[in-house]
Amino acid sequence: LADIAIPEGLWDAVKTPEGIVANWFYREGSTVPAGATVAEIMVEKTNYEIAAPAAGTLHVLVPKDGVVRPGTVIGRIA
Amino acid sequence: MSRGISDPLLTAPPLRPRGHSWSLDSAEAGLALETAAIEELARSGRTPVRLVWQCPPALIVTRTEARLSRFAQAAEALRARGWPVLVRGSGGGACPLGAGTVQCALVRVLPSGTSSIEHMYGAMAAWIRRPLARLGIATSVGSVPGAFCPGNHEIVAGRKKIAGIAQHWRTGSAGSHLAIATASINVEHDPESLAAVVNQFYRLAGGSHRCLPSALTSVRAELARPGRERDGLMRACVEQLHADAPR
Repeated sequence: LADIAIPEGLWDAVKTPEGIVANWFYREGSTVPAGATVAEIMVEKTNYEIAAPAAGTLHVLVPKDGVVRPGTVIGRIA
Repeated sequence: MSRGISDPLLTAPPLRPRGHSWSLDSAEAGLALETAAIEELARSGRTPVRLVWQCPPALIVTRTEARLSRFAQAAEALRARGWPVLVRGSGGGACPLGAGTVQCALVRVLPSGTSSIEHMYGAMAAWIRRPLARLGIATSVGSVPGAFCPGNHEIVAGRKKIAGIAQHWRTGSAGSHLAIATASINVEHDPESLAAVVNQFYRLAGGSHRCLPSALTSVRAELARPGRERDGLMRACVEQLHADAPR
């Protein structure tokens, strides 16, 4: 398993407590290649694209519009 | 992809040396320039790229707004009225560009864990505020209720939005990040027309945001020097942006 996580320290969670998952580019259960952009996070007018850390099957843990913070694991690659 | 939306990768012009500015034929070319800068930085190294550009009228919106229920119809209607609608990679909301605005962008490679979106906002805000200060405009950083593309890192003059900043980050090589911060400064566009096109877009596309003209200002309005030659004011802003570009 490989976590798809929002990097710690990407933003100051004291100043901006939350972001959201703006989009998933693959559906639950899809096969994704390593390095593919799988999701997009939006926080304070910043879009952050998250790449798949490995190839495999995507499992979504935080759905679209779900609230996230730095360090949140939003999905896994199995 | 709906009619009226363009892929900036298709028309990317060659990059010129760093720190130059462009007067472009379209906003599409400007977005392409930014995309090309990111790609160049991803390939070639760690030296920041700085861009300054201008373009004819266009409304640049986020990918989220491109999913509004009547987006395609809104884009078509605005295109017919001289405001092509383009989708950008950064966050925020609909942002009108035109002959009276100037755009700047800062592209950096950031090793993982060494920087945050706040650092990039800070670098961009400093870049924009220094030239405005040289022109005699005192600014602060904050939010402006009722402005288009609202956020907490707006450049504010007299409690009105004079410039806005947005960002787009993606994963680079070896755990690094590729980050682009972009800004649009209203040099001499009248607030009423900017608010009108933003409100027209949301009304037609099915969005709920509304912009108040009273929340917006421009360099010309803040300087309160009517009759000053337009080209001179814009040129002064562009030159000051180059002089103060972050290294």
